[in-house]
Amino acid sequence: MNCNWKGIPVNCGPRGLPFGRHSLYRNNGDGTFTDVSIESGFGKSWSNYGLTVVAADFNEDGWPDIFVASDSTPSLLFINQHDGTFKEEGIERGVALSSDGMEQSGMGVGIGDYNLDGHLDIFVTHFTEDSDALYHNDGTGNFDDTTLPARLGVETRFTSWGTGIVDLDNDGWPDIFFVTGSVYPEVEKQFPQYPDKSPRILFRNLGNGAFEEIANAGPGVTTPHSSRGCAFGDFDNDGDLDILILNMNAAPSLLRNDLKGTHHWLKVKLVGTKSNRSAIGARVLARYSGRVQAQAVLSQSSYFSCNDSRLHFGLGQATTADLTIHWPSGLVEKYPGVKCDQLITIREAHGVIPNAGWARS
Amino acid sequence: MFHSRCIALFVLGAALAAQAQPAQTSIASIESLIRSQHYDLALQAALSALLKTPNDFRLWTLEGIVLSIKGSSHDAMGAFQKALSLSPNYPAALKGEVQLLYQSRDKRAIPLLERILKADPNDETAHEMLANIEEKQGNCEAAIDHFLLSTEAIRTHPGSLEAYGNCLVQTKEPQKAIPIFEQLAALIPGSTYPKYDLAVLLVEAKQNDAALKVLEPLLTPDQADPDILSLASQAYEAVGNTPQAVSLLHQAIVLNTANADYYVAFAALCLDHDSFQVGIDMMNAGLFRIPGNPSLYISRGLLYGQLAEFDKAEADFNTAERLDGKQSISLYAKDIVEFQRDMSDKTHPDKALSISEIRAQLRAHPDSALLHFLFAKLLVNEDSDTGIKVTDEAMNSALLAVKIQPDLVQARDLLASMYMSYGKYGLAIEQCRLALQYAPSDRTALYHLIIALRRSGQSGERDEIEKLVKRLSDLQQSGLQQETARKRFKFVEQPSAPVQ
Repeated sequence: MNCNWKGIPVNCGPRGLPFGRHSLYRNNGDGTFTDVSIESGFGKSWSNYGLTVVAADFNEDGWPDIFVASDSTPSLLFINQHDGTFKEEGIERGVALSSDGMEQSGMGVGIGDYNLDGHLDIFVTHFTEDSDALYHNDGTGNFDDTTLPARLGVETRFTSWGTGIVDLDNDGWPDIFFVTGSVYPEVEKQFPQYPDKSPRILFRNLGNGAFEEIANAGPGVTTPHSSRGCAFGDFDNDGDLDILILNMNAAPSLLRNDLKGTHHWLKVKLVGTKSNRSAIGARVLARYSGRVQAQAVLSQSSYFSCNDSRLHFGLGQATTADLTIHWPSGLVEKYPGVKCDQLITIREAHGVIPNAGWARS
Repeated sequence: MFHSRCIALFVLGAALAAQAQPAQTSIASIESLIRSQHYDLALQAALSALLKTPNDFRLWTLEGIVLSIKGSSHDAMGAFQKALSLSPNYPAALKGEVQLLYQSRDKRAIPLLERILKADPNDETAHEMLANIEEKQGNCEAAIDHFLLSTEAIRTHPGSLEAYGNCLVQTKEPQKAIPIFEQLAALIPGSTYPKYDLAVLLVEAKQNDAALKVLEPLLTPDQADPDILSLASQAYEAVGNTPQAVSLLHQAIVLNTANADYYVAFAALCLDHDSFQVGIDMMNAGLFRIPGNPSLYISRGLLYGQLAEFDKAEADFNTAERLDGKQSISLYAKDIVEFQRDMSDKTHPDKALSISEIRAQLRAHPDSALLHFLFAKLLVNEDSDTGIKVTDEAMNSALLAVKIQPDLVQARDLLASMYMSYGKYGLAIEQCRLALQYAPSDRTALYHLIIALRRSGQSGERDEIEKLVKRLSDLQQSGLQQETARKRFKFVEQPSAPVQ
């Protein structure tokens, strides 16, 4: 194989390497799993290089679907057929390719509701010189590529990895954060514009469908690293989202967010009963200030990362939010007028219960 | 083609047909003299007879025939015209005059041939002649109609087969031209040019194995035609035999070091195989032999661009533009490299590809579809950066690009994308379908079509979407395989042999 990039010999792949197979294991509920890859339709030969997998109910039919961001090949969207099988519909649903119909590099995946329409959108990070992609969900699991109107196409300098659609300033509009780092550290000697280590990228949501890149978000963001995974959670329980980042051949970075100001927030911790106890797959709608934001409890997203399972909603100036919870069991519960600036723990079919392990509860 | 003996047979055959009528003795004897090749006697007899019956169109026709055979074309023409003035549809006179005009593919033969065909619509020879004259006049569509009605007649006429094949190529029917050139190559097996023409068509039709079957017998060690070597190189590369492709192209360059096309083909090979420095070195060698060749500067600029040496790339494109200001391709290439630089280096002081600069380029090259397309694309990108809706100017520029060059599918893809952003799915679908007519493998058009059909919400499109998804997936797969195959090889330069 002739493996070079910009004329410099580099490690090969993924193009030219054999494809792997994806696997799906069904939890037997007794500590064991059954490999259902073949019968589910998930494990057939898809001729693609999957990197990050996320399960969430994208078409809002109450059944979790599965998105697989794929490197150098079309990403896959498996729609749950409600009978133990999935049908792959990534291309026709508009989430497999770039807006020009070309496969991209499919590194990390962020799931969130950037335009507050109550549906889970998808953000996928890609390779340098290619736009990361934002896909807007119309609520039926059909997506439109809104990268350019969202003004996210301006940042193509770095290879991007772990990411999230997360409200980092609690203004009620989820922002986009991702980490970066080259896969070809040898290239920067000849071409400094392709550095091995590069800054983290933060796009602030302007609330009008567009984002702006924040160039001065502090040294934790601007200091170059070669990063891969990143997870979001409020580790110091001060009401804002912090970020844990894994770096190549270096210690992890823990970015503490110290928000000041008047914005409010709400955290929601779900405990399943009929559904799985972690409530993975639950979708929560928070209504505040006349808008509605969707979030889902995910087993993993970003890139090799798992976020704080407590869903964090920035509320802006709103002091209450109305919650609707779609449990994986099919149960739908409503909690109107939940007060801001608190963690609320909700047990499926039982209502609000005392928080556990939360200093300020 | 039609030679003089054929003319005599063709016309005399028509004259003999007239013999079925009650014939005068003089006419029979003149014809007999012609058959026995006593042309002077035949002419004398015709002249004598005409003194007695000056209004006998058959005598005038026979005089014309004899004069034609003797090479007195001008006088023969006069005789035929006199015959036709007496009997306007007399076949022998019509054919006699046609033959004279046909020798120089004179378009005045067209109405005469049409009169012949009116009397006998199945006259293949007349169809063939008409086809060849139409082809000479550049009316290939009319020519093809007549070639189709003379398939038996042209079967043994290399010139007609070649004209037919060329017309099919010109009218963008290369697949139909292939069997015609196959016939031609079989008809004159000792001739190289039909094989070359056939191979060109086969390579263009991506029937590379078939092309190599035609070309390989020509690839003898003493083959000195660099065009054949270059074409074979192209075919070998297409079937994955890169070493042979490089070897043959190298031979072509050595045979004709002053032909820029071979260097450009070498640059294309280097681009395909990520062997950019080798390509640059070859372009340098070419520029040493052909200084000031703009194509070589453009090729080298493209190679520099791949190495992210944007300053050198831009310098080469500027040089190409200076050397040949009439073409806009160098400007287009320059703008594309600027575009790439913008993507990778936000800190470069000259990074911004200026809209006003392209406006200036368009003033100098108002007919450049590529520049109009690029201008529209830049406007769309700028609009998306600033959050402004796609402007009318972008739309108009893209529309102008496809008006100037209807097969510029990138511009159609851009138009489809713009229409979709406005929710005009019908117009987007139309552009996608047009793009796919020109380029059935255009993945962007296929994808836009899938999305536009889905968004248009029309019922009954589910089946088409499924078929399009399958087609797009297949194209993606084959693209991946081709890329893997290309990457099997990388070119390296061997160090020069030590001087003895």
